[in-house]
Amino acid sequence: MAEQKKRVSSTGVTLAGDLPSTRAVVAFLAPYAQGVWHWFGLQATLAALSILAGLATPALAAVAIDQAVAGRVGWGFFGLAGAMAVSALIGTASGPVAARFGVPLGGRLTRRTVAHALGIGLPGRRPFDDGDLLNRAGSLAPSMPGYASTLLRVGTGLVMVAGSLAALLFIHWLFVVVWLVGVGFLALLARRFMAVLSAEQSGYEELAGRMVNAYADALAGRRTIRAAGTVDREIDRVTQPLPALVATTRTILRVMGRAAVVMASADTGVLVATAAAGIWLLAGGDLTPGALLAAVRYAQMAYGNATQVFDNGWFHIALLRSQAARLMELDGTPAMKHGASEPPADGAYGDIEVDDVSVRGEAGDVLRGVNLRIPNGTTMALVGVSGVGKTTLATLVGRLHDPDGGTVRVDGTPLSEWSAGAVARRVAYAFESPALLGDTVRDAIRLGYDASDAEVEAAARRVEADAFIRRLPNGYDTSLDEAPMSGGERQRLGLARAALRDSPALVLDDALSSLDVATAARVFAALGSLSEERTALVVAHRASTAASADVVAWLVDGVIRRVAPHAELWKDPAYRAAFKSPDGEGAMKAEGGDG
Amino acid sequence: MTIETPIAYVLRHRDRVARIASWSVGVTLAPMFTGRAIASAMDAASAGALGEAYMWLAGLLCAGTVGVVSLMRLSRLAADISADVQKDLTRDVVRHALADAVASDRVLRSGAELTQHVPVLVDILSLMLRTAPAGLFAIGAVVGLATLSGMLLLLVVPWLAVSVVLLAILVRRDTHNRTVAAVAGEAQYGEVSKTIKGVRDLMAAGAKDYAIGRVWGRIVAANRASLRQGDELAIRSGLVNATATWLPALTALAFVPALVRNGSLTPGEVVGSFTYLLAGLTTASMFVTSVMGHLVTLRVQHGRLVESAGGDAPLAGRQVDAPSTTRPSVHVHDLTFAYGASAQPIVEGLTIDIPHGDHIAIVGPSGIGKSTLAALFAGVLVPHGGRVEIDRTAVHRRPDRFGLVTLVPQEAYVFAGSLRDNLTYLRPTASDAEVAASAQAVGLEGVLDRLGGFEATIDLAKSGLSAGERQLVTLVRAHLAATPIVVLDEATCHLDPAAEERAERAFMATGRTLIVVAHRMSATLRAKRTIVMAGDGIDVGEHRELMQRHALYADFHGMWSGQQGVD
Repeated sequence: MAEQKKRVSSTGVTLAGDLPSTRAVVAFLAPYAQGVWHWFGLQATLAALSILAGLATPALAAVAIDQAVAGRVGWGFFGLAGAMAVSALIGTASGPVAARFGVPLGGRLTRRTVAHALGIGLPGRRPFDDGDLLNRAGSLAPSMPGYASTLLRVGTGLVMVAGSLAALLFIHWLFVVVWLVGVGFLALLARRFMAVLSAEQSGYEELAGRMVNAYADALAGRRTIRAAGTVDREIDRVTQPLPALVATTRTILRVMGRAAVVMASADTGVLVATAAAGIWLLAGGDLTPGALLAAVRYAQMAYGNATQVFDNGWFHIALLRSQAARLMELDGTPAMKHGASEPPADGAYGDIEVDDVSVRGEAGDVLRGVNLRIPNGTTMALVGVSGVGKTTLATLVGRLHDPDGGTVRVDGTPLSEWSAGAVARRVAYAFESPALLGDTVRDAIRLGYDASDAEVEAAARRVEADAFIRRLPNGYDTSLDEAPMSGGERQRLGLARAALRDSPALVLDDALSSLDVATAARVFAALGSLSEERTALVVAHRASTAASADVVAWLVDGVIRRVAPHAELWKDPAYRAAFKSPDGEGAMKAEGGDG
Repeated sequence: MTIETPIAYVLRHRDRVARIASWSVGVTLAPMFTGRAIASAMDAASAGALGEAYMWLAGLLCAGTVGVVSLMRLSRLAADISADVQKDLTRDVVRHALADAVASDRVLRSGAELTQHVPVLVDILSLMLRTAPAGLFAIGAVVGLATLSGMLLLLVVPWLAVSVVLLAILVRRDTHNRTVAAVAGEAQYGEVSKTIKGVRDLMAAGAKDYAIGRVWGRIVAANRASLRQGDELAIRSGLVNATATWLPALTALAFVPALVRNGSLTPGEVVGSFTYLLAGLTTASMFVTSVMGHLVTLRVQHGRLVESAGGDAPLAGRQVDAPSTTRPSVHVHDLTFAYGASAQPIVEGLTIDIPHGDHIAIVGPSGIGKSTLAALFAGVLVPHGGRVEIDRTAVHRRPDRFGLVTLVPQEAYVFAGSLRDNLTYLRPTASDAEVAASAQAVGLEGVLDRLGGFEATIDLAKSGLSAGERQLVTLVRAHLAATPIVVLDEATCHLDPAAEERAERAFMATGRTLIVVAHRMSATLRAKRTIVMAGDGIDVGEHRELMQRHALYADFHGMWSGQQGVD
């Protein structure tokens, strides 16, 4: 096979190596077909029957026509009618039967791909961006079942070719010679055509991915674009890969068109050649008129099926193999592993211990040798200037990702030993910009948590979200699509989500940033006062937040500088610089100067 | 500007469509001639005239060659047209979606329109353009049959007529079913998309299984719709094929003995006729059904595309490259604005004069409408009552407003590309020195060091910039834009206070008019005056006045100081 040895994935990573073998792809897909194999069996049986009926048709037609030319309607006619009826019935049934095998398979593969995509970590910590994962889970996975039916179609086609050739040989050897001359020519062209396509295809996907990402970014930046009057330029930017994309499309389509022309010319060639041979034999009295018609039909069937195999079948197999490679690449990316430990029923509740933790980023270390102890019931603020690793540290304590070195323990057990789900039950999060999932506002707060409507509403009241939710068109049942919310409102839904999960530990990652100071302080107090035993880690940008925490961890360049109460740290000018201007005295002086 | 139907896009290339049509005739020649040639050749051969027989076959070969050459030209034209349609259509979809999102400040799109709808449309279109001429095979077969036996033709035509009627019903039903299936498929894609983008929250909430369950629900629904569509299509196309192929062939065959006996058909003509009836009609029917299927898919996909792209929206304004060098003042008189006719006004009766070089802070509880007021200042929103004027002309009517006002919203828009392109976004002609000066003034040097200079590529996929760094980029961009008026709408909310102050002072140092929607109360201390928005109305004043007369304002400052309030 002349497949290219190098492919560029949409992440820009160059992957060495061949496309996966057919056997590897089948082994990859087989587990998803459990329970529907009988439909595949039926599909294969129908295919076999259709081969028989298809191969019998020209022979029966020959008999029927010879009998008709002899002036009578005989068994040939009824045989032909039967074969055609069987072919027609199979033709009708085969689609639905194939779907009953392929549709469930595609669904399960999609589910598995989504589940795995959720298991390989956060964006930036995994080799695939969101758009790439979406392409794999949303588009490639559902299309993979085509592989099974394409294989079957190719198999059927090959048997039809062989059967038609056998029939031709039975009628006269000359027809087979004529046929074989053409097929070598055909195979040669098809092989060349396949290699071109796989290469073009991967280039296409990379360009398309780039365009879609730019499109999504521009949609998110719509306010800037509006204020700057730069819509035209954004259109140009987003569509910048378009000429290259279109050129690739053109090449792919032209290559496909050329292949079709090759097939068509071979088709005409064989018709004329077979007819010429047939006329010769007919003139010599070696052939009946019906046999000539049958010979032409068999030759055309052999070519038609060969065309199917080469034009559609092989192209699709190559395409599906390259898509399978992308799914298998994702599947081979290790997911976060969970242990079997369940949280102890009593005793410690949310005692967090960060032990010599380091995290490497693309441009050097994000965190280096961080040691931190947040005893049960403590509220700790995480303070530092932008980009020192506060968020990274916050994501570690609920195991949103694993550190590159060191251990994070909650209640004495390393997080990696906890069962899936146990960590989330113990540590709740609220974020600066929460993702709101589900159909309604209520769904978004609940997010899979088993709670009554009253509990959901109580949680919303705690974070002062109840009032604005009730002003929405359908209150808590307002569809998220129809509830355009401000950043502060979205944040409060995220906070309600955290408040609802009555977890022993709480992480607030800048989750109050869009609330005004007064509301933020009230919500913060409400969350803290929920339970005196609650442990909280709060990424703080406001001095008031840091001041209301029991203790502050001051982070400088990925290292903990000091852990102490706010009032104590406040004496250090370098610490104050992390907030800088909320220095009451200095500010009043400036004010006095103005006045 | 609208998204037209695929056929309308194709028809933009009338000359090439005309050429496709003319090459189609060439493609049809061989299928039309086949049966006739074989019949005549056979009868000639039977009569011992082998030379004449091979003349007929040579003629068929010529027709076939013409067909191949025609098909080659035609395929190339089909590929080129389809590629051009992809270009036009993609551009229109992007235009449409961006213009609508910018005008309405809502995003109703998942990206599926670019990743799914347009490519599917283009694929089908090219296949359809390439195979459409094969539909002419049916006409070719009928014409060819007519030259051999008028009687057989009469027997066949009623079946073909029934088949056409059935095909019309099939197309209608299938359009409906495919639309249902497409909607379900999009719901599945949308759920997958939301789930993948929400991975952090799902992990944090321990809700991965819940999300996968939701995805599975959409998958099941989509599968059901797709099976139903497939089943109905199979039954209906079975009927179409029966009436188009094997029923006419068998009917004809049943009458052949009688026609041969009364001498109206020669053996050659019988074989020739069945070349048309068995091969010609089957191929034609196959192609017609698939082309119809493609047409249905095109219609469905186009419907989905238009739906997902939303309504028409005008393009919002044009950027002006050169910043204005005037020193404009802003006059706000009796300004009123509400979202919706019956909604509570967000701004009511605000009057304020802002001379050039003034510095205004806007504070108030979240959700009170500070961003709305900022947008009114920038001319992005149109007042319902009263005026916002720059030098006595309503700002939203000034075509040069982009050179007068820069609005920096809270969401930092940074795009994939070089850092320089991002920084010079509002002033593409800025010199290196100017870019460097603004970067230095606002405080971007940390980012510059880390990324390695202005030529560094920002790859958003790899989380190259933190939220704060993104805001710094947009602030440098606004600083560099050098418009005489700058509106910062919580544009520093992800910066720490030190970085925030430095950035704000960089703007103050240029002497421009600065309007800041404050994220922290410290911003009010830097401003000359503050607009306080509260539930009971809008107040404007200096810090000292407001501390005395505005309870909420004082309360905000109390909170901020971390003390027990300012009594």
